[in-house]
Order: sequence, then structure tokens, then C-alpha cells
Amino acid sequence: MKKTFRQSMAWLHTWTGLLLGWVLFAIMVTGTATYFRHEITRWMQPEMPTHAPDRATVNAGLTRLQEIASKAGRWGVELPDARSGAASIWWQEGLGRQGFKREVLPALDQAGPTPQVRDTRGGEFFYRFHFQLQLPHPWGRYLAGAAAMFMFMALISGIVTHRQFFKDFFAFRPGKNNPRTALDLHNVTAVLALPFYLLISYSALVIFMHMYLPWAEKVLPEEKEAGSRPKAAQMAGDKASSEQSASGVPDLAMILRLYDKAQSQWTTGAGPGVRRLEISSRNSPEATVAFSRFDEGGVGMQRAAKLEFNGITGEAVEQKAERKGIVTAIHSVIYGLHLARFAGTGLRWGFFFMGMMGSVLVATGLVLWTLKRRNRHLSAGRVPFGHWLVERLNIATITGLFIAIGTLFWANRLLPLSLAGRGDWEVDCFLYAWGFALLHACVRPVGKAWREQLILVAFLFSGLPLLDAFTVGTYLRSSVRAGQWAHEAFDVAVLVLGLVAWTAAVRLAGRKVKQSGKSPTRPTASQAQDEPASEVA
Amino acid sequence: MVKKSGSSLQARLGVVSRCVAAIGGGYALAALSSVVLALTLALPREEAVMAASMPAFLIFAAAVAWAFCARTAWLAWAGIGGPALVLALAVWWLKPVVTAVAV
Repeated sequence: MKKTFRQSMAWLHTWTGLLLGWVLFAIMVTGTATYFRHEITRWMQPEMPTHAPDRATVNAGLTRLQEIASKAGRWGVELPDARSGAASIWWQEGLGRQGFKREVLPALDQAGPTPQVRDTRGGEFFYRFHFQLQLPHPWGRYLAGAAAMFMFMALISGIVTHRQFFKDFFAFRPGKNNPRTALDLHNVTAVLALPFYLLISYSALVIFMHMYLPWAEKVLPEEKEAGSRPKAAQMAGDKASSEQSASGVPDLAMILRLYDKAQSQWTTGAGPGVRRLEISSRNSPEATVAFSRFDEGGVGMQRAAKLEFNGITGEAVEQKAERKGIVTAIHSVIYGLHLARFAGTGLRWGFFFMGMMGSVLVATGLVLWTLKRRNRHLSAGRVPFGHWLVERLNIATITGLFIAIGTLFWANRLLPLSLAGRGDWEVDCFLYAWGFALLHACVRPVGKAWREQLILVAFLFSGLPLLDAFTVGTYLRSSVRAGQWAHEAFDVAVLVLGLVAWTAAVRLAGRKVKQSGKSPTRPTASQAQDEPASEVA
Repeated sequence: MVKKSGSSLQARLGVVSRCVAAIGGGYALAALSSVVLALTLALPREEAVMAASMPAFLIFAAAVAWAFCARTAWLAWAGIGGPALVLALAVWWLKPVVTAVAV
């Protein structure tokens, strides 16, 4: 289409980067936040108690279940890891999701009534938004998949287009003029974490490949396996059994005995112990008690080790050995790398920073598109609608998303605890704030819109630690005493983000004065060579 | 889209045609490649599906790149449609064989 391979790849880079760039930016930012989703949840639910993953917690969970859900067919207790903090219980009465309920366990060591834990989506909001985008199922996932494929294409074509980047890596030219700074930032962030971007976009596709490419699965004949009961039938069995007499209910003492057995089997050699316990078909002779273990620290996604017992006799039920081939292993590593559950604190911050750099990469790419064309349109005296739209969407997406996120956190602290559907209200605040940012970006001049939104982001984010101290200061002090630093780390992180926004707003203001009255800068020879995309309309 | 022919209708149609070849044709090629691979790999079902689907995204990417770097839009279509046709024929021939073996 173009004269050379590189020129056509430059064209491809420009347009794959632009078309879903805004969606991609939102996915990158919320995905980056998801690395700390448990920590965000804890910040958003400061009343949440903390539990130890031990026998006392299991006992408390079972006692609570006995109180509130003695008839339920399925029970579960989930013990916390160091990041999530609180244990929860769940139970299921009848079929499907309607009968499924979950509750956080009250604090064990506290006398008197436990404080009401505020209703919020917490970090789960970012996790869900990251691949569902608040759209009805399955469209969010399809759009996210398209964005991942566009990103993958933009990366491949970008590597071809910007080979120069690898040489120019150390040329950072801050503040001299707009396109240069943005280009250098695009360059630095691209080169620094390129393998991460390739991995994250490809693994995103692999994670949902059964949705994006279901054809291989559809065309292969089913394997006939004896003895495997379909899930629906199993659930129906649970329902039927829950209507029977409660003759076969596993008693609590036996469950605790089985817990001890599982725990001692797994913790020999100081390994991680029981993470979950699940009691199925509670009211039938087929009752089972199953335990699964904490992740053992591998990169790949592996099914947690499991121990299952007969719920009446307490005898161990033999587990089917899982077949594991090389393909499954490769798949699980690709999947696991995307989720990064294996990452400890240090590595997790590393992933977080790479995610931030990816967000900057997308943002600078979007801004570059307009900066390269701006002077041409200004000298022609007419700005086409497409250009106007891209400029506005850039503002509404890049700063608008942060305004929305900031508003979400403020709403988390300011909405009354007793508000019905409080968690949904928080999300509504997020969406309204984003809508406001889009409107604002459309009615204000470009430069002013950027600056005003940046100032708002700065205000929202740097104000959060203060708001936090005023609204939930007591929890803060107690969490410091307990040596849990996630809450403080959150406050520091948002403060830093707020300061970055301040700096950007100030720099943008300074630049405006300097540039007015200057003739548009012409691209230098090296830049023209660097950027074949600039000749593309 | 190149400066000189920037607004000519033919150039625009060429780009549209390439986009369809890249997205529609590229996806079809990827899907067909995954089906052929799944039918030919001698692996347990679940593994065959994974092994067939994972590389398909790379084939998709290669097809998209080809759609935009081929000299003409016709060549872009030929480079994607040709292999897709071959794979479709392979599916047509392989599917009854594999199903028969499984039964």
C-alpha cells in the first residue's frame, strides 16, 4: 500500500494505535490498579476485620454458618492470605447464583458489636472493568479482546516503524517542544517494558481464547469419559438433597478434625496450609468435605491441591490424578504471567510500574497523533471534525478517567454508610464524573481543558490522604499499629499521582506562554526519518 | 491515503478493502488454522484445542500485516484468501475422518 514495508507498518501503527487507543488506555490503567486489587479493597473497606488463617477462624466461620444457614446445601469458608486480610463464608441454598450468599466474618477478638463494613465493589471494580468495561456480557469481553488484538498489532508494527527508538533511547528532550517530549516519552516507555507489553496483550487473548476462537473446540468430537457427572446434574442433586431430612449433616467437630488432618498434611515442611474448605451436598448421604490449599508460588495457573473426605464417615476420597501435558503447562504459564498472582510485594510494584508505563505509552501515542497534525491544520486554517474529536476524546479519556477514579474514591469515603445500593452508587459516581469530563472536554478550548482537568485530577488525588485521615483516621492508626502498611501505601501512591498531575498542569501552563507567537516548528531531518507516519494523513 | 492520491475514491476503497481483508479475512484464516491444527494434532482434546488456538493469534497478526503491506488490495486478498481456501478444504476433508475415528 505504501512504498516500503516500513511505511505501511507506520500507517498500521498509527491507526491500530488510534482506533481503540482510548479503550486500551482505560484497560491499561484499570488493569494496572488491579495488581493491587486486594489492597484497594482494604482501603475502600477500612472497617474490614483481619483474621489469621487458622483453626479458630475456621471454627468461627462454621459456627456462624450453623447459625444463619443450617439448611443450605453448600457451605464454604475462605481463609485470608496476607493481602486480603479478612476471612469470609459463603453458602448456597437451591440452584444457581440467586441462592449464593457471601459474608465477611466478624472480628474474632473484638468485644461488642462489630462495625458495619461499607458496601463497595472495592478493587473488584477495577478488575472487572479491566476486561468487561461495564458493558453487558459478553460485549465488554469482546471489545477488550479487540483492543488487545489492536494493541498486539500496534506493538508489532510499532517495532518495525520505530526501530530508531532503540538507538534513541537515551535522548530524552524534556519541555523543548511538545511533539519531542511526547515522542521521547513514547520512546522511553516503549523500549523499557516492550516484552511486558507483548506478553500482556498476547496473554490477554489467550486467557479468553475460548471466547475469541471457539472453533477448534466446536469442531473436535467430545471425549467420552466415564464417571464424570455434569455440573448441572450435581447442582440439581444438591437441591433435591437439601429438601431431605437433615440426617446426614456432617457435624462440626468432625469437620474440624478433618481440617486438622488436612492442615498437618500440608504444613509439614512449613508449606502453605488450607485456604478454602467447602462442604457439598450437606444434607444427603453423599456429603463431602473438601479442602484446597494456598497457591504454592509457581508462575503458572495451577489448580490448587485438594483433599476430599466423605462427609459422614470422614474417610478420604481418592482424587483423580490430573493429566498435565506440555501444552497445558505453556498455557498455564502464559495465563499466570498475565494475572501475576505469584508476584510478591517487590515484583508486584514492578508490574505496577510497567503497567503505568504502558498507560503513558498509550497516552503519549494518542497525543502524538494530534500534535503531528495540529500545525498542519492550523496553517490550513481549518480543523477537521475528526481531529477535533480525537483531541477531545484524548482529554476525556486520559485525564477524564483519572477524574472518574478519583471521584470513585471520594464517593467511597463520603457516601453515607446506610445508603441502599451504596456499591452501585459509587460506580454511578465514577460514570457520571467521566461523563462530566467528556462534556467539559468538548466545550472548553483544548489547552484550557487539559489544564483544568489536570488540576482537578491533582486536587482529587492529592486530597485523598487528607480525606482518608478525616473520615477513617481511627482505622488508619490501628492498621499502623498492626503493622499493615497497605493502607498507607495507597495514600502515598495517590498523593504521588496527584503531584504528577500538578506538575503536568504547571508545565502545560508554562509552555503555553512560551509557544504563543512562535511559528510552528518544522520536523528535523532525523525526526522525519524517525517518523514515516508523519507523511500519512 | 498517500499525499498525492490522498482523497481519490479508488485509494479510499483500497483501504476499506484491505481493512475487510485484514479483520474479516485475517480472522477467518486464524479460525481455520486453529481448526486444522486441532484436527491434526494427536493430543488429548483439551490440549489439542489449546495448542491449536494459541498460535492462531500470531497467524491473525501476520495476516493483518500482510493485508496492509501487500502491493495492491487484490494481492492482499489473494495472500489471505488463498491459504484460507486451502485450510477450508483441509477441514472439509479432515473433519469426517477425525469424527469417524472418535466414534
